[in-house]
Amino acid sequence: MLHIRYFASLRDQMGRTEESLETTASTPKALIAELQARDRQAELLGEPFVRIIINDEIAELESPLSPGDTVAFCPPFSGG
Amino acid sequence: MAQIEVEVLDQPFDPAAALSRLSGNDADCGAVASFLGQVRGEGELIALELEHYPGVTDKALKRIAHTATERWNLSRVIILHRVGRMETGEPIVFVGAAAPHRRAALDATGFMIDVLKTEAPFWKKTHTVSGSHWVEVRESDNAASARWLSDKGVTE
Repeated sequence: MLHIRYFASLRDQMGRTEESLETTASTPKALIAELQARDRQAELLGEPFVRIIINDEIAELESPLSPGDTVAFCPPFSGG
Repeated sequence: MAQIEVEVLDQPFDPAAALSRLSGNDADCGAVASFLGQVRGEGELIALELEHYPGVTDKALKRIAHTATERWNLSRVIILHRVGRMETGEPIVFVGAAAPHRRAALDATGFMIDVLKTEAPFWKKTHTVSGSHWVEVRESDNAASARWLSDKGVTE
């Protein structure tokens, strides 16, 4: 089970703030493919500008995922 | 060892008070530089809203401040960043560095504000008369940050 969070414009796009998913995905890349197979809104998650945060640390598409992890999908940061 | 003050605030802050804390009155501190970002009242803007990723933003800002103290000889560093809803003219972000010499203070301030824009999870949304929109990232912001990160990056 993974806990998934969506922020800002990606939250609007996905139509949800968070969800829990039973999955065997071992990387964000695999998780994105699974979400894209499930619903069309997830198409944007595969865009190169999407930032991935795993358990509060900035991660990459190929970073390892373990059961119980929290994965956040974020649009480009626009603070300051 | 440089002092670091980092805070994410959901209420307005006083930049003058932050500048005063930054300058202090130490004998070894000959230079203070700072940057203040505030809400620009362009077009039909009613308000600006800032969303963030609690816990992660704080950690990212601390890492940026810490990296600045490792790269330059600094006495004190402050990063304050607002979240929530703000109106025209309100402060959004204050970044500053105090150092024995001006070059370090100026460069550290430039580094922190440029890198903050691409490495800390904040998102801006504008509320205007005609609707609400997420702010798109400008390529010039990415380039400004990349200029500082190309050699070292912000990881400890």
